[in-house]
Amino acid sequence: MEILKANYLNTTTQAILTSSTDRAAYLFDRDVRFQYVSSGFNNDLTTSTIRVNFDETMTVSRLSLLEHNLKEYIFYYNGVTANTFVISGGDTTASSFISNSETSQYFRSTAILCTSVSIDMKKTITANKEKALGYLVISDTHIVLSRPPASKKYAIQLDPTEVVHTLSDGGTRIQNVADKYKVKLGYEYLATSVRDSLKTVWQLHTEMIFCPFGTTTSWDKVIFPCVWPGNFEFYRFSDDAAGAGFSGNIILKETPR
Amino acid sequence: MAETILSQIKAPNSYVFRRVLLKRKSAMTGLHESVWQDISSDVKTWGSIRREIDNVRYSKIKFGDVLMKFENSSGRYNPHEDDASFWFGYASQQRSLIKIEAGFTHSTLASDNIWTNTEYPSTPSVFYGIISGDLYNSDDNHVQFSIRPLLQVFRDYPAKNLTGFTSTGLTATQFFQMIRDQTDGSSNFIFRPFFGDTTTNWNIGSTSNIYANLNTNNSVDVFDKTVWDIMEKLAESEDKIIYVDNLGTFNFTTRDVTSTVAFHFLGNGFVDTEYGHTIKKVSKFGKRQTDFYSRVEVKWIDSNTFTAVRVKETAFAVTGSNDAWNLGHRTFKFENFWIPTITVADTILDNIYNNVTVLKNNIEFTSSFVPHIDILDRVRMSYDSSALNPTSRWDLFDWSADDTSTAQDLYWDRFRGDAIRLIGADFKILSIDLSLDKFETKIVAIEI
Repeated sequence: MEILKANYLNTTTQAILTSSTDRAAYLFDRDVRFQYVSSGFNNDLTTSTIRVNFDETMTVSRLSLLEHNLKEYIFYYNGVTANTFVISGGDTTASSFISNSETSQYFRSTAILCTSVSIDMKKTITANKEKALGYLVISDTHIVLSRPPASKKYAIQLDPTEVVHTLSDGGTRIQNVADKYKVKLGYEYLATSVRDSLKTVWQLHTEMIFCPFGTTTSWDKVIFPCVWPGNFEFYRFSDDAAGAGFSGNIILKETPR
Repeated sequence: MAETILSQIKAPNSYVFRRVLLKRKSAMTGLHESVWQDISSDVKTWGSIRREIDNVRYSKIKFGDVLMKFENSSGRYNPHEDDASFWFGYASQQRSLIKIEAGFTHSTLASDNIWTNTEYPSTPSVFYGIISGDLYNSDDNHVQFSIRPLLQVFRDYPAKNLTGFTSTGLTATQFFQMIRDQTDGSSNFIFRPFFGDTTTNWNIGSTSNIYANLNTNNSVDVFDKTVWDIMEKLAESEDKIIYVDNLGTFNFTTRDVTSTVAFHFLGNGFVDTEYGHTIKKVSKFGKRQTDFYSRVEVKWIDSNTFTAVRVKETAFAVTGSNDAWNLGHRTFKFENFWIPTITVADTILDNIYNNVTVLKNNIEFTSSFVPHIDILDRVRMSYDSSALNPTSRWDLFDWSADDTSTAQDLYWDRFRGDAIRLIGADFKILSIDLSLDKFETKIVAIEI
């Protein structure tokens, strides 16, 4: 259960693309229906590259690729293909894939200081298709909550912004504008150090990214940019002993596109 | 099944979109930037877009402002002098160009894991305007923009500063062409940049009457007027209308309704697989008595003489079939001293008379989101506030068995009323109010 820094990729000018430059914004648009799709690279012998430049040296330890169709690809830093990331907790340790079949993946890597991250997209799962990627996150952690909350205190939902029309015969028509994640995490017995770390995150009052159960395979694809509105509650004791730890709720709401 | 705008409109569950796009003015050239900037993600409330013609009064155009509220905690919508402002480095926020788009998105995922997203309609613009008016910040971190229709640019320019008049005067067509081609004296167009910076976005109808007073910028009909004042007078005297359509095209044209049916609105009591059921509520239906006049006066010369005031009226008689007696002998007065000849005055008189002496059904209704219709469109209406023929009294099942002819059978009707019964009736749209918050279209239309 991780809260990450805001996506390092947030402007189109950061993305250096070998084609489809008009689709650069879709790389950091959470709505995965709108993908970056290469143009003229529907051949597994051609490589389409996405390079994301940072305007200063950044620490990268988390990468996420959602709704892609890549079979063979590699991602690396500072423009050198040998600079692959060291992946932990996944099915491979190097960020180089030859026969991938997953369409959404979340990678934890050893933290790297770098000024760019590149993805060379070589082959597609269905052969000879344009290379597609729905959402790219490049980030680092704010805080890793080593244990999840109790299931009853983990309330996650997709909230639609929808218009419900009641027609003249009483029938209903729904028109959807967008679906946004909202999550409430209830914790008890948190150590003082964890409480203080959470307070540091809360006090930033800035955009962040929430990923509860990121994996490289069979991922539930839940990752979203969010804000933490409301109170900081974790000064409440969990029990009648000051040493028992602290309780409170974290509410995270997805940001606009 | 192939998706179309109609299939999206009638779909029980669909995705809709709305966008507001902006073009700032260069601090150097004063011209709008070439690329539209999408500022949709900062919108807190979208407001409504309203276009109307002849709704309140014949030939009067009402300017409907769009009031859109933006989140401004970062100061992005502060004045252009503020370095946090999105306009920093550009000219004033005022008269920035705004385009609003709305429609449906249909998304499909192919087996190669590539999404295809198609927007309906393919050209989804519903409004073009400019930022115009006071912009106040507040401590709840929002700023409300007043977005006015493009016609505002004609209000904001004095006619006295126009060049291109000829000593013999101008026709209305020539005047509008002169406006289209007006420059600041250094080959920079004054009005054209707001209309796509092209002549093709000016639909100027042809006229032949020459207005002698449009001969110099010091003319009594020009020197204290705005460009809009003159346009409005010309439209009245030519019996035409001025409006900017949803594609941002300037129109000086007749008020003729389109010949083809742009959309068929259906409500209770009807089933249609092409258009579906879109009427939510009919709030008003009936003959607008206050729009009935049995007498029309057109005053076209500034004097009180028989020649100056042209009159056409219904013959008055105290009989049960006389409209002037039944409804009141009311007079519609119309005054325009730009009308060039008595013949033109009489033509306008006839047109107005034909419009106001026939009681027509008006309808005001609300529908679910229908983004692609415009004023003057012909729309078809089918709506029945009850399910059975309202002229019948008794139930067919009980009373028809002994008779092969059902013409004389009597039907029980549903008790909830027969107030409205429209079966494929054609109407002309006079007013459209599109709520971008509710994705709802309010329409006022008159029967054709």
